[in-house]
Parts: sequence; C-alpha cells; structure tokens
Amino acid sequence: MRVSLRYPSRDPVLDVEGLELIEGRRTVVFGPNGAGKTTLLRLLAGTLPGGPGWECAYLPQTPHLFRGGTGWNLGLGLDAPQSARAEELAARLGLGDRLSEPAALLSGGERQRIALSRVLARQEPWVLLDEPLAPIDAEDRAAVAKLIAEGVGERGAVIVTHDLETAAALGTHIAVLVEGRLRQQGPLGEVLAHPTDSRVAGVVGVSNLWEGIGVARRGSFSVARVGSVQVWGGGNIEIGTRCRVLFRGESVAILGSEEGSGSVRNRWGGRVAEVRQGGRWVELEVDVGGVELTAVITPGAMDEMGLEIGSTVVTGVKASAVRLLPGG
Amino acid sequence: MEFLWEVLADAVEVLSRAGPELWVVVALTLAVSAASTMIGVLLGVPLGAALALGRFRGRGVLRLAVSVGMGFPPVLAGLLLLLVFWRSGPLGGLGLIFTPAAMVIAQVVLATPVAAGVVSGSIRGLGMVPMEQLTALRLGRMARGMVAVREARAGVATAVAASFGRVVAEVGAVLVVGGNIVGETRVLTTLIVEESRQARFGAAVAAGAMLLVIALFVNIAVGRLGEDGL
Amino acid sequence: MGSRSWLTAVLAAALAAGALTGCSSGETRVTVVAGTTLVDGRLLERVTADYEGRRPDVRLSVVGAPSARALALAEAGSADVTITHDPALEERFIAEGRGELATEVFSSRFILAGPRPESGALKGMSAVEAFRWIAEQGHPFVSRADGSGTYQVEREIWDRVGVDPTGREWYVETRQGMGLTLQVASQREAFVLVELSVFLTAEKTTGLLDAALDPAGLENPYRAIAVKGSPVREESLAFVEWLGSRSGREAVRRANLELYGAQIFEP
Repeated sequence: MRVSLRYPSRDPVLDVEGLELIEGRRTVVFGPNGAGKTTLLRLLAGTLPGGPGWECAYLPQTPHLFRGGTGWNLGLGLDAPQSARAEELAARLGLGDRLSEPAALLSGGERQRIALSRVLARQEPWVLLDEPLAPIDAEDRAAVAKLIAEGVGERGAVIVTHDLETAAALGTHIAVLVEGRLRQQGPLGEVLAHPTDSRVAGVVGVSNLWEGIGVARRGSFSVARVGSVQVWGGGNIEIGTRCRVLFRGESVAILGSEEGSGSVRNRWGGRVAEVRQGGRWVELEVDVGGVELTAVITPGAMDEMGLEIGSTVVTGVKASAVRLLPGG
Repeated sequence: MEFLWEVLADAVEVLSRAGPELWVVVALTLAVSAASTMIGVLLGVPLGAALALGRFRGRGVLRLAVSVGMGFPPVLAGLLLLLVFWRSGPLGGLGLIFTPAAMVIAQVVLATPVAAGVVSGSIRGLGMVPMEQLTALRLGRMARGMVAVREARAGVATAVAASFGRVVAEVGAVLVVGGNIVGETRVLTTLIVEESRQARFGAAVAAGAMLLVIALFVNIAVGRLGEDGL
Repeated sequence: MGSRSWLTAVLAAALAAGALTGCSSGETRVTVVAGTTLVDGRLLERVTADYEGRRPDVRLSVVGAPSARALALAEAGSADVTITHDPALEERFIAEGRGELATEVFSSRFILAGPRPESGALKGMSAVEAFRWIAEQGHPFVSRADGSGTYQVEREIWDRVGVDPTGREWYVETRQGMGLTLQVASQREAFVLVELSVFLTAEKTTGLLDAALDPAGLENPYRAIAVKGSPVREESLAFVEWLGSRSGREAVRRANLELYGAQIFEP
C-alpha cells in the first residue's frame, strides 16, 4: 500500500508522499536526526493525530516501563497467550529470572528488551519499531535483531533508524527520509548500492549489501559465500545459516590488474561493468564472479589507472571493514 | 503581650483538663474528615484520570467544573446543600440536615474536585514518554486509567493530603449543614468559631492546636504513602 | 491608562474607602451592643438610621451579642450603650453602678413553637404546663443554651417545672443564636422557645406552629442602658433618652410596621 503523510506542526514540515509499505516486508525508514522519522512512525501508530493510526504493535523511541514489577510491565496490554509468548521472548533475551524485580532496577538495555518482548508478543498485522537496537549493546545486537525478525514473521514492519547496520540487520526494504521528504525507496541492497542523488548518498553513503551463507568462523570473524565469492568479515555467523554482508563503497580499493600480496583479506578479480561520475567521486560497478560490487574512488585514481568499462581489475576490502550480519 | 500570654496559658489549661466534651469534638472531626476524604478521593481519582486521559463529550465542561470546584466557596456549598436537604426541600425526606452525614456530603462536594484536579494534573504532568507508551499499549479504558494512576502515585498521595486539608480546615459548609450542635455536629473548626465569638480565646486556641496536630499527623502519614514503592 | 484616568481611579478608590470606614470629620461614634435578635432582625438598624438622620454629628455602630456578653463588653469598656433583655443581669449591672438612665424601650414576647399537631394540643396552656408536658412526653426540644436573655427565660420556666433537661436525650443544646436554633428545631420537628419576631420572619421556612400559650410570664422587655465612664457619655445619654422619648417610640413603631406590619416590639 502507498501511504501519504503530512504533519505541518513541526520544522521542517513532514510531507511524505507515496511511501510504499507492504505486508511481509520489513521497511526501514532511514534518515539523519531531525528528518521526521519518529513523527512518521507516530502518525502511523496513531499517537500523533492526523495519521492513519493503524492497528499495530508499536515500540516508541523511548519505551517506558511503569512503576511496578517487571513481569507486570511485560504483560501490560497482552492477553494470556500473548503474555506467555512475551515471557518466552524475554527469557530468550536473558531476562527470564528478572521478572519478579521492580522495573525501576533494570538497566536501559534490559528495559528495551522487556519492551521489545512486549511488542513482539502482540498480534497486530503491523509492527512499528522506533530505533529498536539503539539501547542494546553492540555485541548483543545480532541476537536481538534475529529475535525481532522472527517475532515480526510474515507481518509488515516499519523500523525507524539512523544507523546503517541496524537497517542492514533488520530491513528488507528501505525508505530514505531527508528534511521531512521521502527521497528514495526500494529494496535495501539496491538503494544502498545505488543512491539516486547526492543527498541520499550523503545520508546513506554508498554501500554493498549482499546475501550469503556462513561457511567458516575464525575468532570474531566469519567467512560467508556469496555466489562464487568468499567474504571475510566481522561478526558471528553460524555455519550454514543465511547472512548479510555489508561494506561501504569507500572501503573498496582497486589493487590494479595483478593479484599481489598484502594484508587485504578479501580480493576479488572482476571486470568494470559501469562507471558513474558523481562530481568529487566516481562509482565503479564491478562484476566479481557474477556478484555486483560498487566501489567509490577518486577521479584522479581512475585516470591514473586508466579505468574504463571492460577493464579487468582486482578489488580488495579489509575484513575489518566488512560486517557480517545474521539473517536474510 | 500580656494578653497573648494569658490566652496561651488559658489554652494550656483547657488542654490539660480536656474532658470528654472536647474528645467528642476531636473524634467527630476525625471521623467526618476521614470519611469525606475517603469518598472524595474514591470519586475524584477516577474523575481526574478520566479528565486527563479520556476523549469524551463534555470533557471541557467537566474540566471547568473541577477547576471551579477546587476553589468553590465552602459556605456556598453548604448553603446549596442546606436548601436541598431542608425538610421541605427536594431531598428533605432523608432527614439528613444537621447530622454528621450531611457534613460528610458537604465535604465530599468540596473534596472531590480537589482530588480530581490534583490527580488529573499529576497524570498530565507525567510527560510525553509515559503518555505515548500508555497509548501504544492499547489498553482498555479502565486498565489505562489504573496504570496512569499507579504511575502518578505521588499525585494520589497529594490528592489525599490536599482533600483532607481542605475538609479538616473548612468551617463554612459544616457550620451551615451541620449546625455546630453540641455533642452531635460540633467539630474543631466550628468550635473555634464559637469560642472566639464568645471571647473564650484560650479554649479557641486549644481547639486550634488540636486541629494543627491532626493536620500534621495526616500529612506525615500521607507523605509516607507517596514515597514507598518503585 | 492616561494620567487623567489614573487620577479618577485613585479618587474613586479614596471615596469608596471613605464611605466604608465612614470617617468623615466631626462625627462622634457611639458603640451600641444589642441583643442578637434586634440586630439580626434589622429592627435596630432602622431605628438608628432614624436617629442618625436627626443627629448628623453622631454615628451609631451596632454590634449584636447575647445579653450576658453585651453587658460583659460594656463592663470591659467596649460599649457605650447596651440594649438587652436579661432583667436579672441588668439589675446587677445597674446596682454595681456601671450604667445609668436604664430605660425600658420596647417589649416583645416569647412563644413556644413546635410541630403542628403537638403545638395545636398545647393551646392556651401556661408555659410551665406546656414545658412539663414536653418533659413527660420526652418530646424533642431545642435550646440555645447560651448566655442569651431567651435562654434565661427558658431556664426559669424549667426551674418552675422542676425539671433539669440538660443531658436528656430529647434535649438538644445548640449553644448558638436564635436563627440556627430555630432551624434545628424546625428540621428535627422539635419544640423551641423563640422570640416572636424571629419566629415570624422564618415562619414559612421552618414550618413550625406557634403553640399559642397563655402569654403570662413570656414577656420580653428590652432595656437600654448608657454605660458609665463612656468617653462619649453625652451622646450616649442623648441616644438612650431619645429612645425613651415620644419621638424614639414613634421611630420604633414605624420600624415595626415596615418590618412586620404589626407592633412586635411594642414601645
């Protein structure tokens, strides 16, 4: 469905037209602070007047636990089966033995987990989450993200965030909001790799988002296979499970035509498929073993190496610049 | 100055040989004030929650009525109830006039808007974050009100204290509907009025001291109520 | 606001303040403490207004108090003239040399008022007989039980009956003025000894009936006394004298007619 939302009593005015939200998709509303993301979500949820006010499970940006027991808070607004489900989710997030404590004793991250469990246990057709991973410690985000994806299931979700990794971990689609306007929307990988204009590129950056399968683990690094390409990156991916690979176009180096040695873990040979001039930067589209890779380089470097469509190159990305995120 | 010392000495003497007559007055003061505070809070808290959270027709009028009620002149409330409960008045058949029951009713009329106003204010004062969460939870009307009231517990304690303060210190309404009859409807405030009118200042001050002690104890007790719990 | 309108406002405020305190120069203030009935019933208000019309140099401040307290205030030097209805206390006050020119100025009477059927049954009885009947029946009776002339008369009747009603279940003490005592009697369907003018004023709202007793012993004479040692002795004496004069009695008659349409406080 296409949604149009307007909220004039804020600066800048929120004026979104044709936002595409479809059940079964998890759409990330992405943008910098002040873009109007939270206002948009409140209008959808009906906590601000003037929007559609959907039947939804809504997690506000700052979820609040009321004075009282943690368990009592967890069950607020839920019927008996939903409460049982919420307790199960809370237990999976490591809070099973904290339910008898007063909610005031929980830390910020713990409160967020309780609030998330409470929201995900609901049955409404839409799930609206405002910065769901922000108060969660970095090392726990993957697990919580996985739980969110499971909890949303086949329903529709709208997830507001200003963090690219959260977007990559939770979304299937993305809508980019800048100063109250919708600038671009589409499948997550497509938008990240091909921002339509420099405003979007400035906000989102140019990134590669691939889908793969975990094949090996080494310490805090994992290896994923994407098509015929192997990728090293930071993150814990269980072998045989689906995962996402995220790295920025700026992190890609063009190593020349020879495969040399060095500290760069990921090196992939390929052929330049497309060149897009973008003022200060040039975006190269490189076909590496059937996988499409976007690299952002300077025009100077491009001239030096004499790159053009059809050139054969070796591309390289340090493993530490690549994030491997579980799920798909 | 000498005059004041005499009055004080007199007051101490009155207190030191306080007989059953004074204790009856103190007991009635406590009973009437406690009963009217309790009923006023029981009515006022849901009313205040409804005013703060509800979206219903007539809310504006009700809100105005509560604001006016918070400052409603007690003696006028007393007069209106006197007319209602007068033997030949609309509710005269109940035979309530010049009884403690009539005093309680009059004070409930005074206490309820105070309780409602304080609770409504403290719920609205909870701020944007809890209020949005409350909406997000999609609770039923009752549950929503109960969660909000529980969250604003300090406000409820204030409501109790403010209601009790208003009724225990009030003289106009209880005088008019109660009649200040010895042993029946005489409370500390009407006793003070009576004693000062008769220029028995020592006795008046003694009654005033009792009133102050009661107000103090109730405020301490209610303060505890608001503090505990997380 | 311009400077002219400021001036007007200040002037108006000053005038209002002047009117409130009545502090125009050259006036002598005489404090009259009178039985509450006279003050509450507005009779005295009219009579003093009449007098002030004749003597623009005198201003009468009227304060209502039960008779005993009125005389006590006079004793303490807080009153220049008293108008009371407690003969025994008045005698003592004069005997102690505290007052002069004691003048009987008018007289009303007490009646026994009560609920309809019972009141009707007492018609023509003497006060003592009626009170005895009430005590025997244990019928509710409301008393002022304060320092008023009315209460003095009531106690004397009980004494003659030989019953001390204090503490009896049917005997309610308000320890307050006539107005409230009458209200309580009305609402409890009780008997009450009440001064006639008060009864007449509230007759409709109380729904009580005058038992129409034999009036002997229920007279209610009021006496004006000039307090000795008053700083405005001359004006006090003149006022008391006027009350007893032909002109003063005329004023009382007019006030009676205007208020009650009959001579309730008979001069």
